Amino acid sequence: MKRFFLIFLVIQVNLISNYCFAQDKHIVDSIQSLLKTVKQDTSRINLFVKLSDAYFDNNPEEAMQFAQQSLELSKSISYQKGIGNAYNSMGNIYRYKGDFLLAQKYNHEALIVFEKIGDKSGLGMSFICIGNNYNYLSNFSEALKNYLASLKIYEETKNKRGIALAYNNIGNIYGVLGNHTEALKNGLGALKFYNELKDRKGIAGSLNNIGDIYKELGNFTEALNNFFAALKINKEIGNKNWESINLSNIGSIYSKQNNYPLAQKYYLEAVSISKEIGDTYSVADSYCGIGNTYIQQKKYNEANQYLLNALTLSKEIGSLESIKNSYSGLAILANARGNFKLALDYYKFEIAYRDSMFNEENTKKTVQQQMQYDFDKKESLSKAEQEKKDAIAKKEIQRQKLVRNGFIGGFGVVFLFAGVFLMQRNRIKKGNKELQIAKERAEQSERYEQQFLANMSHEIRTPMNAVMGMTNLLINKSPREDQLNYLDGIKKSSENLLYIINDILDLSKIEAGKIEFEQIDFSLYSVINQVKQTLNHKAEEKGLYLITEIDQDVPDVVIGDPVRLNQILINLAGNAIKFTEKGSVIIDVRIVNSEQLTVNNTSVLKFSIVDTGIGIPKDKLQTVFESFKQAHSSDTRKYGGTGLGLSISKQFVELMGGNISIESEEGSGTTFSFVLNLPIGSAEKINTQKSTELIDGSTLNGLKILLADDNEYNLTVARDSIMAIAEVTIKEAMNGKEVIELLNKEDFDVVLMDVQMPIMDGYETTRYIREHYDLPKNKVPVIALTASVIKSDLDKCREAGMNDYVPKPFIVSQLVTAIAKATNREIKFTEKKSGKEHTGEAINARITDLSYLRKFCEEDETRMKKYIDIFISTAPIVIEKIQVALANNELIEIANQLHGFKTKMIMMGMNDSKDLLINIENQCREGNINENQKLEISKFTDQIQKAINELKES
Amino acid sequence: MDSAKPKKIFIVDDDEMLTEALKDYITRKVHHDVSTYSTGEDCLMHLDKKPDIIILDYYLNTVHKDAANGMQILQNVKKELPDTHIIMLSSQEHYGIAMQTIIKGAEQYVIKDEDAFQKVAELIEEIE
Repeated sequence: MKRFFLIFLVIQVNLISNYCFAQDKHIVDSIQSLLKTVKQDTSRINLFVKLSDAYFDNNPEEAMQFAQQSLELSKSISYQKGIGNAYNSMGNIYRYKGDFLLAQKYNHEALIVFEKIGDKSGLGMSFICIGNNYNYLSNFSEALKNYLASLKIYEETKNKRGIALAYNNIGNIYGVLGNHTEALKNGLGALKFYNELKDRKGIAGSLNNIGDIYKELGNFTEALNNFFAALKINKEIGNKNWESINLSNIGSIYSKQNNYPLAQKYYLEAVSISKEIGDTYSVADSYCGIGNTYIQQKKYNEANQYLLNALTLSKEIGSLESIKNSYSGLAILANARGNFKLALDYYKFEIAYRDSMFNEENTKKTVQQQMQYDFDKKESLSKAEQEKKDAIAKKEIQRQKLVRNGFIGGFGVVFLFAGVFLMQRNRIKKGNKELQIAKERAEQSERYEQQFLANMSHEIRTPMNAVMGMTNLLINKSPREDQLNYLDGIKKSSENLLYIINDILDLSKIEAGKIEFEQIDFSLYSVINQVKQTLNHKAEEKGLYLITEIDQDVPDVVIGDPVRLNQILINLAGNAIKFTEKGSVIIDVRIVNSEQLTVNNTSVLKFSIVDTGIGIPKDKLQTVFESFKQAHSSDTRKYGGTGLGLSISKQFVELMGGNISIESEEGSGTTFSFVLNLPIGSAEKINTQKSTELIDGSTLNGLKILLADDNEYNLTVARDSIMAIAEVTIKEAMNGKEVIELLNKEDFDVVLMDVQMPIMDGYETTRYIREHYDLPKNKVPVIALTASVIKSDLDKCREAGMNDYVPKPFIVSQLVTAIAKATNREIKFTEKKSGKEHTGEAINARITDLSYLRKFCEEDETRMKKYIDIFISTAPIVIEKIQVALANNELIEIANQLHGFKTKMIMMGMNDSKDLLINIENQCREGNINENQKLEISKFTDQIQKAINELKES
Repeated sequence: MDSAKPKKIFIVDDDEMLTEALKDYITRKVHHDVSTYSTGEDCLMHLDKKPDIIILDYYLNTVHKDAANGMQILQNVKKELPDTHIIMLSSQEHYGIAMQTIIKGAEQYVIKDEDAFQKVAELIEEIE
C-alpha cells in the first residue's frame, strides 16, 4: 500500500516538474541573475515565488523568506493574485514544517483573496492546499470535500492540468480509504487529461499510478502493463526518479507472482538508478523488496544481508517507515529460519517503530482538534466571515471568469506538490487503516508468540524424550531399590515437567482457538477413578482424604472428551489438595436432570470439587481463573505450579459448553463446580477402544527398521525400547542423507524418521523417497517421530508423504501400534494384564501357578500341600462372604475380603487376578459400584472358584 | 551375631494363610518363638508374654467384621509395651497410612507382596 500513496505524490511532483527547479543550483542562479535585471514588480514577484519554490526542498527557512518578500512586494503594489499565491506558498511551507494551524490559516487567507478577485485558478489551488492539510491530518472527508470543490472549479474553467491534479488527489483519498474502484476511476480520469495535454510525464505518472491500483486489486497483468508503459516513457524523457520507481514496482509484481529471479533483476535496476540520483529512501525500499524475495527462495543469508542493509540505510535517513519495513522483513526471515525468539524481538522493534509513527499521528490528531477548535472559535466570533467563507464555493461556481494568469497558478502547483511529496514520503497509512493495522499487529504478535511457545515446547520435548525413555529403560533393567527410588524420582519429575509444557501449550492453543475436543464414548467412572489414582498419592502425603462420590443415577458411559475431562478434574482437585492442609477433598458427581434423562438421552452432570482448605478471599474470587494468578501473593513460591491450571480448566469447561463456578469461604474451604451436558454413550463402544498399554511387542518380530534421528540419545531410546520388546533388525541414520544412502543399499519394512534433522530434514527426505525411488521402495512406510504437537506441523508430515506420526516423548506402545499399522501387522495384545481389559473373553489358561509356592516351600511337597489345603478350605468362605456382601451392597466388606485375600493369591500364584482385585477393592472403598463392577466382582469370585478347582485337581 | 538369637514374635493377621506362611518362613533359619493371632484383641490379651516383636496387619476385620484395625492395636501395644518392636504388614499400599503407623511407633511398614516374607525376616534379624 505504501508504494501506492507514494506514487500519487510523485506524480504530483513530476506533473509540475516543468516549472519545478528545486535542487537545481544552476536554475536558482539563473533566476537570481534574472531577478537583478527584471524591473516590473509582478515579474519580480513571480521570480520570488519561483525562488521560494526552488528552496522549498532543502531550505524551508530560505523558501519562507522569498515567499514573505513576494508577499510584501505584492502588498505594496496591491497585487492581489501575488498576495494569494504568497499566502498559499507560506501555507505549504508551514505544512511542510508540520505547523498545520498556520498552514491552514495562510491557505485560508489565500482562498479569501482569490475569492475576492474571482481568480478561479487560485481558488482551485487554495482548495487543493486546504484539502492537503486535512489529508495530512487524516480528516479524509474534509479533504475530499475540498478536492471536489477544486475539481468543480477546474472543470468549469476547463483547466485540464487542474482537473488532472484534482483527479489525482481525489484518487489519493480513495486509495487511502481502500476504495480502489474509485481510485482507479480517478486515476484514469487524470490519465485522460494528461493525454489531451500531451504531458508525457503526467501520462507516465498516471500509468504508474493506475498500475499501482491494479496491483492493489490483484490484477497483476494490468499492473505490469501500466508499469512497463510508464517505464518506457520515463526512460525516453530521462526521468530517473520515476524510472527507478517503475522498476521497483515491476519487481514487486514479479515477487507477488513468485517469479523471484526476475523480481530481483528489476529491483536491482531500481537500486542502481536510485543510487545514481541519491535517493536513499528508494534504495532501502528496494533492498527490502529484494530481501523478501530471497526469503521466499529460502536463501536466508542473502535475505539477511539485504534486509540489514535496508535497515542501516533507513536508520541513516531516519525514515521510520523504512525502519519499520526492514524490521518487518527481518522478523519474517527469522521466523522462516525457525528462530522464533529472534523473530519476536524483531517484531517488537517493528511495533516500537510503528508505535512511534502512531504517536506522530496522534500528535497530528491533537493539532487537528486544536485547529478545529480554533476555527470554530474564530467562526463563532465572526459570523459574517463564516458566511462569507461558506458562500465562496457557491459564488465561484456561478462566476464564469477566465483565469487571467495561469503562469502564477502554475507556481502554486509547484509549491503544493513539492510540499506534499516530501511530506508524504514520511507518512504512514492512516485513518480507518489504523484499526486494521492494530488488529493485524495483535494477530501477528500472537502468531509469533504462539510459534515461539510451540518451538520452545519442541525444544524441551526433544531432550525430554531421551530423559523419559532412558529412565523407563533403566527401570526395566531391575535396578536396586535405592536406584529405583531415584529413577522413580526422575520419572515423576519429568512427567511433571511435561505437564507444565503441555499446560502452556494448551493455553496458547486455546488462545489461538485451535483446540479440538473429542466426542467418544467413555466410562465416567473410570475417568473419576483415574483422577483419584493420579492424585491419591499427593493427598496421602499431606494426610488428606481424597473421596469420590458418584451419585448412583449418574450414567457410566457418556460421550465426550475423557482426556480433557480428566485434565479439568485433575487441575481442580490437584489445586484443592495443594491448598488444603487438613481434612478432605471430595470429587462429587451428580445428575441434575434425572427425570428427563431418558427423554433426550443427555445427562446434565454437575461436578463439584469440595475442599476444606484455606479458601479464597472474596476479592480474589474473580481473578483465580486468570492465567498466572494465584489468590495469595506468595502462593506460587509456596504451592508451586504454573498457575495456568484453573485458567485452562475454565476455558475447557466453557469450550465444552459448560460453565464453572466457585464458592469459597476464607479459612473453611472452597467448592469449584461445573455443569456439563454429556450424551449417554454405549458400553459396547468402549470395549473396542482397547488400551494401548497392552500391545504385545512381538507383533513386530522380524521387521527390518530404519531409524533416523540426529539426537543420539533419542536414537538409543527408540532403538532400545523397541529391541526390548521385539525381535527386529534396526539400522540407524543421523540425517536424511544417511537415510537415503541406507535405502539405496537395502530395503526396509519401515522408516522411523525424526522430523528435524540437519542436512536433510524428515519432510525433505520423505519427499525424496516418494519421488525418486521406484516401486516398491518409494512406498516404504515412513513414521514421523516429532516433538511438535502443533497441528500444522503434523499436517506437514502428511503433506510430505509420511504415513503416521508418533509424538515425542513417545510411549513404546504408541510406537509399536504405529509401526504395526504401517506394516499391516495385526496388533497383538499381551495376556499378562487380562481380567481388567479382556472383559468377556474366555480365559482357558490356568489361574494358579505354583512356582512361587514351590520355591517358598523349598520344593517340600508336604509343606506345599499344607498351604494348598488352607487355600481350599478358606477360599470358599471368602467367596461366600463377598457374595453376601454384594447382595447386601456392603462395599467395604467386599473390599476387606478382597484385601485379606491378597496373600492367598500370591501364595497360589494367581498373578493374573491381582490387578482385577486391586481395581475392585479401590472401587468398593470409594463406593463406586455400577453394573460393570458388579460383573467384575462375580468374575473375580469365579476365578477364586476356578483356582480352588485347579488346586483340588493337582 | 545376635541374629541367630531366637526372639519372641507375635504375628497378628486374620489371614491364616499369611500367619502360617510367615511363621514357616521366619522360623526356617532361627527357632523364634512365634505365636499367631487372628485378631488384634486376641493379641492384646497375650501381651503379658512380653513379645520382642509384633508383626501386625493393618486391616484385621475380614473374619470378624467389628474387629479393631491395626492402628488401634498398635497404639494399645505401644501404651502397654513401649519397647516392643512393631512391624506393620499390610497390602494397603498407601503412603499416608504407612506414615501414620510409623508416627504412632511402628518400626517398619512392609507391603504384602511376593518379597514380604523375606523383608520381614530381614527386619527381624536387624532388630536387637
